[in-house]
Amino acid sequence: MDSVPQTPRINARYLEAFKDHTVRVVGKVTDLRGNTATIEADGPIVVQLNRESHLQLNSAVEVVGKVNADLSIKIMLFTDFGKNFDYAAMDAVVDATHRYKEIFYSDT
Amino acid sequence: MDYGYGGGNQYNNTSYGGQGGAGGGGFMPGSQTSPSGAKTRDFKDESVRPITIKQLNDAQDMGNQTDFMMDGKTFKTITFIGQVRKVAILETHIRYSIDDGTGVMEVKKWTDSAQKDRIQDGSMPNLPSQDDYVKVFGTLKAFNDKRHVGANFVRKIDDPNEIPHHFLEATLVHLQLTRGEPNAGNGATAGQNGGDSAMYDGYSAGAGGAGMNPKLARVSEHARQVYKFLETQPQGHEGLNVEVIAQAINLPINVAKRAGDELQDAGLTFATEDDGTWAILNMDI
Repeated sequence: MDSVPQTPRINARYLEAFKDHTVRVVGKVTDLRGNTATIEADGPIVVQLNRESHLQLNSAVEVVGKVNADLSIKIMLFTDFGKNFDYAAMDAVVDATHRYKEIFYSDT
Repeated sequence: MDYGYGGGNQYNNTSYGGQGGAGGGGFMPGSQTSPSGAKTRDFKDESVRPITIKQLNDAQDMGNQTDFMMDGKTFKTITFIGQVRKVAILETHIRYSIDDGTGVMEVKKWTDSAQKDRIQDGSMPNLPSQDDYVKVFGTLKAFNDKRHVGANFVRKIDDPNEIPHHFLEATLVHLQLTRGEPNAGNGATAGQNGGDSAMYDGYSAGAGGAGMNPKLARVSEHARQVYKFLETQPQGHEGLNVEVIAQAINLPINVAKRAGDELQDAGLTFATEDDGTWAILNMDI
């Protein structure tokens, strides 16, 4: 099913491998300035915001967006996950996503 | 269509007040039973299977549009978590388009007229809307080669930690079905790294392989010792006293008592003449 849009869950370690793909990242917002934010997801990721993105500093956020050539992510959608989010559990999900990808995404 | 009107009758007979909204319903017994009625089926098919939407899209259609198979096993009731992309409130149902990052699935939640009135006048609480993360519980259907899930409930998740929990659980079940239980012959996949083994711990500790009561995997080491000792004793309904057990397996009485209580709480044993005497609860006889 090639036409099904998929947004694999990744973290900073997988940015290079998913250049030009639409992905999902959950990270802690560590910096907000102007049109960019930095989130921590097993490493820092720069997120290019749009006018609708109102991220909360120190909160967990899920970003759906496209990985640019410079490994920043252009935001399409975000969901606030609050301040009690278990990042280690999400790292385990990212690990499972790529280790057992048969249930998570198709090769493009 | 088997999902239709059994459900409708049920709504007519119950009060919606207690239902808590479109997502609220809980379990509708009607949909749990096999639509073909009398046919006996593997009881295991009826367990709720946590899945990803990609698995639903990939599942093999058994030809009759209601039975599907994945990882070599048929399944009925499934559960998944995803984000609502679209909501359409229609005459007889609410149609959601749900995206969990692995794919997109159409989900139909049937509504009756009373629910519809509440949706229209805005008094339906917790109605999922676009971009909400929801937990879906239902069954996969195919109609003209297009798949959808007939939902028993679609509820907004209370805690975002449900999301990683769900995906880890779906991975665990997938691995159990495709590679077998961890430590049961194939130790290579389990406990390979910290992340994996943490997931398995509840299941793997001391797991003795096939045939072992799965409940036993979740009790403490002492409780397992007590259980194993009880197993070696002549079976009867009078049971064995904690003092006898403690002496036989060389445990302090208070430890043996705690282990025995634990087994009883887990439904593995039952107390016989007093609360310090237990026999094995054998479901097979």
